[in-house]
Amino acid sequence: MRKRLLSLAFLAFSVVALAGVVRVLAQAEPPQEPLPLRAALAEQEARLATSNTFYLELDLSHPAIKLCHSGVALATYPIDSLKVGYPRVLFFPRMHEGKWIGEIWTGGRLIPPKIINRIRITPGSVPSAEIAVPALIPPTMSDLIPVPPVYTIVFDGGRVIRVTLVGKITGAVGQPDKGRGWWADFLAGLGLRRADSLRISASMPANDGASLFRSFPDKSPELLILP
Amino acid sequence: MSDNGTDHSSPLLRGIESAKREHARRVRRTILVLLIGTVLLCAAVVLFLFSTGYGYADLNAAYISRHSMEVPQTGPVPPQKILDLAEKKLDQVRPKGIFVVVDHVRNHLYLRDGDKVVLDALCSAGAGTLLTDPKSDRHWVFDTPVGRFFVRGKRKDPTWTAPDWDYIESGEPFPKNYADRVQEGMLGEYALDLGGGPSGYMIHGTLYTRLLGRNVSHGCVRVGQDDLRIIWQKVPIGATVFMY
Repeated sequence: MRKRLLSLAFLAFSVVALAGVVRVLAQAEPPQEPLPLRAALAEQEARLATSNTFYLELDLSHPAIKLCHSGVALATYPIDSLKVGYPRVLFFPRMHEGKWIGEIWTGGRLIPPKIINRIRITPGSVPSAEIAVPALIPPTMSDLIPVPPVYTIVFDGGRVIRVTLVGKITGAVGQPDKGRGWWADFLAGLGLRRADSLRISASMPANDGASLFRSFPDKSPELLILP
Repeated sequence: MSDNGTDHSSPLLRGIESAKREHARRVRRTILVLLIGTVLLCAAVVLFLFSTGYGYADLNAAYISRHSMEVPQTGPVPPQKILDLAEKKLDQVRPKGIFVVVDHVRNHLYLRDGDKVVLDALCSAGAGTLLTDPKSDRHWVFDTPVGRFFVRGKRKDPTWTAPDWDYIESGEPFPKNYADRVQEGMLGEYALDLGGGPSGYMIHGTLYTRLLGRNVSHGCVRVGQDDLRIIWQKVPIGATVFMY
């Protein structure tokens, strides 16, 4: 009886120890994508990096949008939460997302578009710009570019990233696009309005999301989705 | 006769009472059916409204693996070779050594060595203002340009050659001699030229340090004296400057 108890205790100890070792090993080496996928991703990134333009990367495993140029991440805008949306009727999806991770999305543009409320200088009103110290504190780009609390980055093929800003936006605040509310989604779900074929919903801290909007490249950037 | 004067014993009256009760019961049942029907209808409408539109799913590991692009496991070029080639291309295009990153929206200048930030300096980038010459109808937009640039030259005690817009902005006449356009001490101790000659875009110092962090320049990037000294020391000619 005692022998059996001892062997049971030994077995339990072995199982616990093995689980611990497996866990430590799993933590030490994060899971990597298979080599063909890594190669395909690196190829995509190299193509974007050699384009001599700004491009974006959406990292799904460490949620963030990165503004990149020439293979360098210039700015990282962290994402609090990410969800993927699809049009549906009575819980049934109307479209299937397919394989979209690892691909390059093209033709990125902001909705509503970025507007810079530029100030026009009246000639003669500035007494020698380099000598005079302005009496008033001049505005910053944050004051000149209003950012809506919810905006959308639309890509070719109806793929979109909808960004919701969480918290108070520093600087000018714009109006959200009125045509993209719940009712529009409902109609799109029914097929009575053009639906986004794939929608990624991202919640971002207000200031990061606002910076992404204000720094968004003018020449429709491409986006690489990283798993 | 009962106490309240109703004669329960009469079959006619009993029949009438029974019919009334039956009618009342039917009315109650009809109302109940209608009520339940309305509630069910409302629930169905609400369910329809909430189950139609966009559904959302979490982007967890299982979802990511299900929706990652399919790559053929075998092909004419082995994946390792494709990976090596892509990494070689990336290495060629990435800046080597120290490079500069200017965020003209947040007015920050970073010196970076790879992913490591060596210096984070407050700066003043372009104000984004508009100017039109009323005489010639020439236009200027005072934006800091965006893209990839290179340090073309470095100057100590730089002078600034005032362009036409400076005189138009202040309403002063253009100087007759070109030499009169040259101004000393406006750019601080050092200037790093990014192209466009002596009136082109530069990273330079400023007299107005209290305006650092605000968009006030005509497109150049102004930094404080201490930061400018570090930039002067660390950034070589040919270094990459990213501005966004």
